Amino acid sequence: MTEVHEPSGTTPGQRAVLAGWVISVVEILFLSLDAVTKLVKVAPVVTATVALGFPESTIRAMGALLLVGVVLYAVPRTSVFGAVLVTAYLGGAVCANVRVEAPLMTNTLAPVYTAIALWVGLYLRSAALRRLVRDGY
Amino acid sequence: MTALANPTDSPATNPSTGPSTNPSTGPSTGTHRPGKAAVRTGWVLSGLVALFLLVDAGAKLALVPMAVQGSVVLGFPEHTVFAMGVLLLAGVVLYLVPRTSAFGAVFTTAYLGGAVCAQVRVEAELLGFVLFPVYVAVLLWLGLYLRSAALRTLVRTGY
Repeated sequence: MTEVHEPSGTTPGQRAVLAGWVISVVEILFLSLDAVTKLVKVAPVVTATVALGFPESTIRAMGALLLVGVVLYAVPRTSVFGAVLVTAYLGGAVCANVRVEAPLMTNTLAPVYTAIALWVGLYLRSAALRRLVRDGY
Repeated sequence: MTALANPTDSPATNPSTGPSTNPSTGPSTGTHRPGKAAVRTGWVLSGLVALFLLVDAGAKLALVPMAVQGSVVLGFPEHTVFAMGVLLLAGVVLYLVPRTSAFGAVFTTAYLGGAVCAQVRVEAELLGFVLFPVYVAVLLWLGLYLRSAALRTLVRTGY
C-alpha cells in the first residue's frame, strides 16, 4: 500500500522499509546472541558478567529479560514496546560499564550505539513511529 | 496542542487488520485525542514523576552527601555521580517539553534501566528496590500516554 499518499509523508518507502529491516535483523541477531549465551550460561559470558560485579545467579534472568524485549521488537505490532524495553536493558549495560569505569567511547557508549541502531532500524520501517517523531505530541 | 489541528493525528486504522495495514489517511475523527480530564490527569502524573526525578537529579548535581553516599554504596565511583545527575536532568527536561516528551521518556527509561541494574548487582530486595525504577517508568509512560495524542495514536495503530 505504499502507493497511498500520506499527507504528512509518514509512510516509509520500500527502500526505507528494507534498510530498516536489515538494521533491525542485525540488531535482533546481535542481541539474541547476547540473550541466549546468558540463558545457557556460556562460560566466557558468565565470566564477563561476574567481572562487571553481577552475582552469577542473576545472569539467566538478564538473558530472559533481553530475549523478551528482542522478541517484542521483532514483532511489528509490539516493536515500539520492545524497543523501549531493550533501551532500558541497554541503559543497564551503560550503568554496569560506568561503575567499573570502562573506557567511554568503546565500552560505556557501546550500548548507546546499539540503542541508536535499534531505534533507527525501527524508525525506517515503522509508519507509526515516523508519525510520532514528526507530530511529536 | 498542535497535534489536535493535525489531520494525520487520528488515523482511523483498525488494529485488527494487522501490522501490514497502512495508516489510513481518513478525515480527523479525533478518536485518539485525549479528553480534558485525561490530559489533566496525565499532567498531574507527569508532574509528580518529574518532580521526584528532579529531586534525584538535583541531589546528584549538588553532590548532596546522602545522594553521593547512596551511589557510592551501590558501587559507583564518586566522580560519576554528577554526570548521572546531568543525564537524568536532560531526560526530565525533554520529558516535560511536549514536543520532545516521547524522546525524554525513552531517555529516562534508559536511566531507570540503569537504576534497576545497580540494584540487581547488589541483590537488593526485588519488589521494594529492584522494581522501584520500573514503577517510576510505568508512571512516566502512563502520564505521557494520558496527555499525548501522538503516543495514543502510536499505541493504537502500533506500526
